[in-house]
Amino acid sequence: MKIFATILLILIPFSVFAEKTLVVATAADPGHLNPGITTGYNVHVFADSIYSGLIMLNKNLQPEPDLAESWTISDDAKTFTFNIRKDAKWHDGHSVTSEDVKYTFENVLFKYHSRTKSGLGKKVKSILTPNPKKVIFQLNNSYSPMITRLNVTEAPILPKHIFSSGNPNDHSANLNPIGSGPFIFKKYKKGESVELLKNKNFYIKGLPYFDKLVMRIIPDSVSQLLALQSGEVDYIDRVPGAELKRLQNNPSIALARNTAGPGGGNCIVTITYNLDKNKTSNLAVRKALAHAIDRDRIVKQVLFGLGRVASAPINKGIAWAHEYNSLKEYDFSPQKAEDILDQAGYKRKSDGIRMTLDIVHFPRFSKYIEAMKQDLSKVGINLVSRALDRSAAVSTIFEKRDFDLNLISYCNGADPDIGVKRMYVSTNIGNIPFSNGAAYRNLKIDSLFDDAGQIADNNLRAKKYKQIQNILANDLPYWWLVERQFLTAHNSNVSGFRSWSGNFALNAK
Amino acid sequence: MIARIIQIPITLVIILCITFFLIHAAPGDPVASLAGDFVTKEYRDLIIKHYELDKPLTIQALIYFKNIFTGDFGTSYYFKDSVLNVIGNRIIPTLLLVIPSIVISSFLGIYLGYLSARSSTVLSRISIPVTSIIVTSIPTFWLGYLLILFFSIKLNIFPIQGISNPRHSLEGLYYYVDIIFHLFLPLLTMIISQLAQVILLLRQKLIYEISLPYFRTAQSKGLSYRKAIINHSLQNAILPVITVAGNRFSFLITGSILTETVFSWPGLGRLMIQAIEVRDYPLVLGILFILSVIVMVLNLLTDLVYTLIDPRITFKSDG
Amino acid sequence: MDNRHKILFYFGIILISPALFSLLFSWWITPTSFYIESHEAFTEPCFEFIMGTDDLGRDLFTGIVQGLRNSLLVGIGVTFIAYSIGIILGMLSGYYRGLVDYLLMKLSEIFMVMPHFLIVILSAAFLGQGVINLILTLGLFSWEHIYRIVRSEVLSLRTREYIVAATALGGGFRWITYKHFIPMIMPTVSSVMPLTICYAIMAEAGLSFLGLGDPDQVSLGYLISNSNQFLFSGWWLFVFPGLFLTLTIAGFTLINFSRDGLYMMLSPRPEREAKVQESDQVLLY
Repeated sequence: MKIFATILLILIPFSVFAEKTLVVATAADPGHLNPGITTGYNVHVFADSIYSGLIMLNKNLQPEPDLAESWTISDDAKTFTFNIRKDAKWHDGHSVTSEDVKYTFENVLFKYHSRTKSGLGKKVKSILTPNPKKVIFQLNNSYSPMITRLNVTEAPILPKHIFSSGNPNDHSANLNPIGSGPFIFKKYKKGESVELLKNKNFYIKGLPYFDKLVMRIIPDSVSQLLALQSGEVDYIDRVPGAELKRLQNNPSIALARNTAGPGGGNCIVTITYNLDKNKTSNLAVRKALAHAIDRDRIVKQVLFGLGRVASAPINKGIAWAHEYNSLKEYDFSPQKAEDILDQAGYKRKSDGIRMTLDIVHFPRFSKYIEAMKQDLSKVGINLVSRALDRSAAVSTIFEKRDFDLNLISYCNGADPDIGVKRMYVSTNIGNIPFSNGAAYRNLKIDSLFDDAGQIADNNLRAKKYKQIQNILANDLPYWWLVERQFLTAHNSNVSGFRSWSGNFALNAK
Repeated sequence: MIARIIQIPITLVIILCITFFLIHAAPGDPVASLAGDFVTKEYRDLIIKHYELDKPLTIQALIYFKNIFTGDFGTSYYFKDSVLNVIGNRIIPTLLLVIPSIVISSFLGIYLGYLSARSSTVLSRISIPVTSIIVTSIPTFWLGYLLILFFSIKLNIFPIQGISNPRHSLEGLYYYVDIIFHLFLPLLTMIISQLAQVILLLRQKLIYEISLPYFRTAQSKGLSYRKAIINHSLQNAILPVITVAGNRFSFLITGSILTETVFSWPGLGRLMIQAIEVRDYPLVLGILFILSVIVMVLNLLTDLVYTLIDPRITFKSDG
Repeated sequence: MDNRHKILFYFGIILISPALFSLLFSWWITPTSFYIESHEAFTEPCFEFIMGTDDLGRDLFTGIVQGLRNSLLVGIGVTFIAYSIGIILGMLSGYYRGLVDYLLMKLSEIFMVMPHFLIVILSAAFLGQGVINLILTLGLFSWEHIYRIVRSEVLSLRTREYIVAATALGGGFRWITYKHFIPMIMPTVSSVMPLTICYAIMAEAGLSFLGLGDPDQVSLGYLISNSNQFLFSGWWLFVFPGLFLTLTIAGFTLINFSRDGLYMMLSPRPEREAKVQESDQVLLY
């Protein structure tokens, strides 16, 4: 790029260089820029810098002021009052009011944003707007995690005066967003890039530092890395794990490891057992599989060290609820696996194979499957891989339930009530993608989850969740493989990225 | 001739029908990709109702065809923009790759084919086709990475990917120069992968023409070997190359997918793969429609050009 | 075959010999499936692992051998299906002519116009990604080319005296086909065969590269796409699959070139001209 850069230097007037631009590379094309109608990572990575939520989460996933400068929670955790900043304005000049909040929740989020809808939809009794800068949420029952679900990824606030005319799903503002966040939308070149400009009237004075934020769509992680190394981009959100060692020794590149990102956090790559099918309904088979897979090797070779073996059904990132030793009994031991299978009656036949199992998965998780294939074949299980693209996989798993095993990365979110509960409650069995794929039915678990959601005190909730995890460890409806970490890399001249959240470029300079 | 023109819409309709039922028969639907990573029953019902996906398939097909007649190709589920807009944006980069690559490889191929036919030693006559075959056999995606490794990383001349510089959004002349810089490597990949075909074709025809009696006649009239070729045989030999160019076009439009993936080139091929993955029905059908139209029109034009150039061939739709 | 072409022909055979070797002997040289073994990851080529190991510790040599074998199998399978359909339809078309011919030609035109690669991608989503599906789909979209060739051959052959005589003697379609047509078209068909195999191998590699191939079957395309993450940490993962893929494709193309060119030299009749045009159009992009 040196020759090209020299030409550029000569040709372009100096004023261009006075402008500080941050260039970011991401893999997926957003399609549209409305974060309220989808939970998709591809949209949020762009749109979360244009819009804002009531709060934002800091590094420890605790709430900090965003649109709301302060808030109070009633003692019974049933009423949440937020004071919206006086100087919060939309990019077109209108003031951000509580009407916007009410409108967004009732007409957009509770209809189209699946996570918020399923998590908060039934809990919110009413939203009151006593004055333009004050909004009150009244809940049916106490729900302390409420506040962690109000950041820009889970609950972005959309402008009522723009979206109220028409259907949010098809609105022209989806391609020309007016938000209240640190960056203003300038241009979207499909398949190529999105350009954002600094919001000079942003309510947090002094931020953002960059005048321009350009987000490039580079699907290939190696191309992203090459672009970073050559200086074409400053920040990439996908780093090929194999390069980790090399990059750590490179002083011009800084790395950041996070357990969360714009698409969700605290993710565990999980194997689902189809409890309605012959072999996988047998607990012995499930236990044997758990002993047969070398999860340390997966962390080493598939994740290149970017992650941990899952030691409990709830991600370690939710520290207060994580039950440390719940999965301890399932150590890596092919011998134990073989013994269990022998005792269960699945002996090795003449060709050495005990049974054949198939596993449905998205193509991008193929590496896990390949590692599992190696381990399972050693104990006599032939693993057949069925890679289906996303839509087909979802339909096969949740609609037709045509699988023995499947592999999905389930993200827990900031609170177990967000991303954990959906996998285990019996009300979630059916054509509801990314929910209870195993068809696990346990009424005790159902009631424990319900209770835990309604208690305000985290300590008391923790007791319930730990109980849940111990029961799950015995029943083993799923097998929790590894907790993934996300690796982002950036030019070491730049710092201050909030890589764990949607508006990651807020503090960057 | 008129018959051919009439056949176009009929063939189009048949192709669209087949694709329509194919893609709707594919398991899954747009809901999962639109929702993100979490879908609720209400959301699914909302989306399906909104896009009229709950109606019986034949009714949906009829609605779609009715819309096409009025020029309405629908709105892309994923991009939330009219299908024609989305395709329009992405077809230009693909055309930027395909058209210059056909033209340049044709010229280059003709020249090299000519060289290989006229030179005096057997070795040099054989070496050009053989080398071109080996070079062309390099899989396009492997070739792409090789070029990137050499030119972009080692020599640092050309950008690694994409169509424009990410950091500075340039206007006017600089914008076009920038695009040309980015175009170089993918274009090179496409050209190399087509060279052998042209070279071999030209060479074959040229050798054939040389074996015909009129060549001897020309030589006996005093023209040198070389001149005889240039003045007479070459003109005849170029014909098939031109007509084949039309067919190559349709191959290349879909074939550019691999190059587009390697270079992150925002073209139609990648768009198609994306659209299929998210089950964006209007977009998939729209792309197929446009591509089929292009192919059929090109076939027609190719045959037309051929009859015009070579009066010996009459216009027949087959053979 | 004159000497120059003989040399090329044998050169082509040499180039595809690793593939042929793999096809015949893979069960012996690499008894365990590529996916099952696991050794030390990322070892460079050395005595024990001639081509090194990949990121999951799998032996690349096994991968290449089994990948070549699979590629060849796909190539042969696709050719078999495409040619079966194409030859039968071509003969029907050429012999019966009339309405049958008209309809079949229209059918072949429809297939020709459809963007092949895209429909194959579509059906990968539809049928799932298995190698049988791949072969079927690719084969289903490659028949129209051989159909036209066979058709024009049959059209010209049917006017020969001995065919007319055979019909007069009472020989029906099946008899004539078996005894006469098939032997007559074999030379032409077999001269185009390497090209089709070539195209199928390329298509399969391309699809696997895009991630749409069968994940249970080793493929050179997959090996290449897997390797691009490790361009710097494991150059052998990138070099060897590409090298062998290139050699195999080049070999088939050279074989085709040596025989086709020869054919051209020997009998430059106008009908050959038309065939040559069409047969060249199927070359790789």
